[in-house]
Amino acid sequence: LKAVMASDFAIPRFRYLEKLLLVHGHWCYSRLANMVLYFFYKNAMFVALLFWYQFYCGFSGSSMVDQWYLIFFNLLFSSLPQLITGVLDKDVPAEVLIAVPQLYKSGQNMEAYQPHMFWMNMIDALYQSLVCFFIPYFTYYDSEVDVFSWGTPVTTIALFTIILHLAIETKTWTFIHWSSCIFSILLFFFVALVYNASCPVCHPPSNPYWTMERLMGDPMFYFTCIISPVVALLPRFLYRTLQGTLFPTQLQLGRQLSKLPPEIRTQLLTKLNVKESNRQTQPFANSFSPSLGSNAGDSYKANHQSTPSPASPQTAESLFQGHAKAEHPAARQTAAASPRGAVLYEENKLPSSAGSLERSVGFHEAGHGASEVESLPVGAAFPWSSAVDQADLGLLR
Amino acid sequence: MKNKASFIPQEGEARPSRCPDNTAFKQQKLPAWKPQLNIVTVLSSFFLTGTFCLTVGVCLILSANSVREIQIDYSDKCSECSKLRENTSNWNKECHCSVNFTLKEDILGDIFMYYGLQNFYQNHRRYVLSRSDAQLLGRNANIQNSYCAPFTTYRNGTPMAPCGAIANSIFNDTIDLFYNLNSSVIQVPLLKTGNSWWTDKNVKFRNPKSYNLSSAFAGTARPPYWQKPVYLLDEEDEKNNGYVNDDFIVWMRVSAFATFRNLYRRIRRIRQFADGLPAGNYTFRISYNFPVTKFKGRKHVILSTVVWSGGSNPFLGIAYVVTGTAATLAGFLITAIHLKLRKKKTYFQK
Repeated sequence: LKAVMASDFAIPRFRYLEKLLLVHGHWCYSRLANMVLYFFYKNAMFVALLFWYQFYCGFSGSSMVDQWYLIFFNLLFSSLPQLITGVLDKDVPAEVLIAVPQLYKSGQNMEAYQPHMFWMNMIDALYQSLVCFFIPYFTYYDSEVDVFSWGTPVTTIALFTIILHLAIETKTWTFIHWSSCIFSILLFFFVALVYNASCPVCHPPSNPYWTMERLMGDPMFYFTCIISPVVALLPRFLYRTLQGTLFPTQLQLGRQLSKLPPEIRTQLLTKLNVKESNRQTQPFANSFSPSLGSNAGDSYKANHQSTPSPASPQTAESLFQGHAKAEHPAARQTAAASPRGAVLYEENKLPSSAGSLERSVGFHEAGHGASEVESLPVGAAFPWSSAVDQADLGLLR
Repeated sequence: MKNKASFIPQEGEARPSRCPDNTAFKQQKLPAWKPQLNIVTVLSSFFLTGTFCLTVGVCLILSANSVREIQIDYSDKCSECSKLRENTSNWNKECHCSVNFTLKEDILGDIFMYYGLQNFYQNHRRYVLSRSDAQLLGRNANIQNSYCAPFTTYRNGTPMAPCGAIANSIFNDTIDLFYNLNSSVIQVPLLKTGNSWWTDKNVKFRNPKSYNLSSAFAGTARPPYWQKPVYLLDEEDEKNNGYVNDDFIVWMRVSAFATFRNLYRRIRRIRQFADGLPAGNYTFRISYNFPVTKFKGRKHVILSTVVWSGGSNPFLGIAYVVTGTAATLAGFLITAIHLKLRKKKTYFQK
């Protein structure tokens, strides 16, 4: 009892460790890494806008963004979407994470937060702030615009860019994501309109009375607000597009895997299983049936029958050789040859989870589950990364 | 992170389940759209963006090119006056200067006259602060507590109306336009009101209330750089006098950059100028008061038509065209990569 109260995580069944580690552990790491990168980017980009203005106001510390927008920007306008993404975003679906445990390696290798990624992110923030400053600057250069009538479009552009940047990085969109993004933008316009329509002398020194209302009737405001986020985010969007095709990370392959039709997914995983069996350094296989619908009914009993499958029986044998240390004294463990590879699973797990994908098959030794995951030889080449050659890359588009 | 189940087994008691609810939200099983950057979405987004930006860019460039603008720098042409103004003891000497220009074609439509300044930092932080909006609203504001310092009161205690550095440095050149018609010179009629924001003129700037304007400002003095007090800014029009003077309001709207222009007058479309400015010879007669040489500033006078997309600045149109081109090229690049790699898909392909 005291151990539970003193611990960060407490699980009552050992089989829960798999999901805790592979799914929630991975999600925790990736959410944290992505949100830290995004947080640094957002603040760097917004403050850099004020910095670039110093070159054009005599380095006097003048701010073209109104004081209340400065206060509320991080508090109200751009905090909620970031929070929602940081809490709810799933970069790879749970089924794939359990089916392909090698993806957990990305967290162990700190692949989501490398120093070079941080610095690229900062350079991207610098570029975006340059775009978001200089496009309005050159548009309104040598015109009759006043400080806050120019600063309000800059703030709007910054908000749009930041939210669209988050949109590019978010991998799963629930209705909460949509509503938080739209709410933030609407909140900004609402606050701006109310603030600019309230008392004309109560907000020294800027007193931006009626500025936003006038801007809303100016077509140049809208044109500037459309072009600047597009130009600012074009490199990042292009990079993400090309990354998914030319040099995808393991996680992206996992995401693409989950999007494939079930038959192709099965074939691919079987292909990967075949390749794995040649290596014998793998203690466990990517053995699971990815097709939810078709296997939900099979569950426990089907695995004891010999169902026709694309995999050859020798697959199971060779995998069993690799599973020499998988023998477990626990009597509850049942080893059965499934059509798709070696499967060890607990019998008491299945009846309760016949319908859920992540429990339909799984491999774990109850006693050494945790250590098994951790003690994967670091130098071992994973078939997921090396055996997947160009043919499969082409498949995984 | 949440635990799978967080109840603690207790012996011989009914266990209240402290599991989180099995709702979609708490179990993180909300229905979600997982966008994937496949070839269709990517290519359509790039090409759509490209075509949209190209069309808008071309429209913006065409409309910016349709603006007729004449910009004349008169700080060089009026060099005697600028030398005179360098010495501040000459403040009460008048100095006039003439600038000629020729229009080869008529300018049709509404024409706006601006004065332009270069290297004048109206956006300096302490300059922007230096005003009292409560005083400009006509209230009996305590300007000692405002940011107007040092332009608040004189040594004998007389407060300045209006206070602050922005008001003190108001642009006080007078520019008139004359048209040479058949060896006679006629003055082009100009409109001096209607150049400021409606909300500024009617809400943000109000004269103090009294039975007449000079008594409303009794007990106050003009700022040091002004030649006449605020209630004599426009003696012909009561609605343009005092704080609600259009030139004053336009100047108080501090500009964003060191190179800026402010609307000064509009061409009044009557008599010969009903359609605009006819072709011919014109002369600006300028009463040069505003000294700019000390800070290496320059002064311009600008005549310009306006269109829906602002002025003659084609930058936004060019930005749209460049972005559209870049997006279209990126689309072609992606198509090329896709076609090159597509052949590698073999037996798994349907």
